[in-house]
Amino acid sequence: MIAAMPDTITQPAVRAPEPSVHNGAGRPRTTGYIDCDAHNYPESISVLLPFMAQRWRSFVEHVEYPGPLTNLYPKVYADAARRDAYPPGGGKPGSDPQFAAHQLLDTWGFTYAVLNPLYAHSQVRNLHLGSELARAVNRWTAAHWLDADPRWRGSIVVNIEDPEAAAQEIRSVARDGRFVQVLLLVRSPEPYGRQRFRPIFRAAVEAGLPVGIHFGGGGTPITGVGWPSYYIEDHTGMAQAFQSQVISLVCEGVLEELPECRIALVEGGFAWLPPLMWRLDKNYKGLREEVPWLTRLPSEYIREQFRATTQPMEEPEDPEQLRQIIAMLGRDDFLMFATDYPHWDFDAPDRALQALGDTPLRRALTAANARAFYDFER
Amino acid sequence: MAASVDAGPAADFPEGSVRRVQAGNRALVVVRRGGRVHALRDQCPHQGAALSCGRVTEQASARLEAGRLVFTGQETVLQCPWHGWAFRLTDGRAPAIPNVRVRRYPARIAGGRLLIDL
Repeated sequence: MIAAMPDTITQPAVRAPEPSVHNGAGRPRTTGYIDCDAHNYPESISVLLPFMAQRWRSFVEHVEYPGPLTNLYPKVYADAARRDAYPPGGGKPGSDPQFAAHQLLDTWGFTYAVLNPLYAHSQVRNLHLGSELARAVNRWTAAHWLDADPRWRGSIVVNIEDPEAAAQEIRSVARDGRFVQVLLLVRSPEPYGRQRFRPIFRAAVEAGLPVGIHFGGGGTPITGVGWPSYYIEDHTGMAQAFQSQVISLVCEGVLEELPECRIALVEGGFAWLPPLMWRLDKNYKGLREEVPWLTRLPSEYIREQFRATTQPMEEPEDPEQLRQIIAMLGRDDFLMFATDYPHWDFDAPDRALQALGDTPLRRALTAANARAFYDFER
Repeated sequence: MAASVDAGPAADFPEGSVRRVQAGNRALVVVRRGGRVHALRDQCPHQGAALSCGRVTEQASARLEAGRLVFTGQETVLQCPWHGWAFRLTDGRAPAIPNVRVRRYPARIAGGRLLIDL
């Protein structure tokens, strides 16, 4: 049969092993980078039970509570995860600290990765149960992830519906120096500048921790006009919620009251920030009487006290436009690299930043900016 | 003249399979679907993920008529495991992204072997 074929058989092909689970074989390692947004997930509520008080363990088991559910839209893949991120030993993406360390940290040579557990405890209407779940997630993160690899760093999750309990949780968990921020989700029942949330920000400042505000959340739509139909709208439009939070935190005086408060906008994009600052500054000049506690232009608070992570990296057809919009942010230390591992919209370290070339800006945002913002050696 | 490589027994590529094959320094993904075999470069042009970790799926085309959804057809694509970029098995092109494609190599089964023209 071979002789009948028109082409020459030159060499046998080799059946390669199934593609490497890390998908980074042969790529240049990016040693020394810091990932400001990776995710760890409890496989189920059962892994949280050992970290809950006996009363709540009994309750959860008695009522067969499956844990809060949040999936509003069918997403591109199950668990909104990379299809190669399922641990070989079973379980959900982000549920196995050893596998995640191999696929993310080893493959790309990350020095640190900040874990942001996206658990929906704040959507539990039972306040006490919601706060207990948050406490359990923090203790599970410490025991199962931070103890497993010194490159993981944690985020303290809190029940935003119970800000006093949230503040207490921050004070408690912050004693563990491996936790480097307080984590909030961007879709909240009210803008975070409102007074009811102030205990959370005060506690974070007292603990010396920044606050990360991450894509997602619940209870309210991302838009000011109701619920969109599709995930593509949800994913693209989440910047609306981020914009609302930035405006609120500035105008309600959180940053004026707490000049040491630092906030990272995580997975919210950043290209929208320059025009927001222009408009907010313009309005402030005419409407200052409404918010007289502000002593500076809004853009000054934003540039000094906010930072943003890069993923999902903006991808204009002309890379020069990306460089221009970053310049408009006004500071080279504003952006911090993130992958969003193990989610489907993961940014690969060797590809996502190509538009920036080998520049001081790129080198800063891959590690130095995060080191300046987070204290990884608390 | 293109050189052919022998990727192994056809039986190793059963219907529905998505397999990675290393041909020299080229990593290929071989898909057997509907009785046909397809070979494409095993790297997404977006951020470099291995397409062989992705999935083969049918993507629908449709139009809206007075607000009602009317499906007009579907085509088989190989979808990247990361960002979901989808490439037609038949020509490697991305239906949703102009001017983007994955290189496709002619592949066939002959004499019980899978042969790929490089």
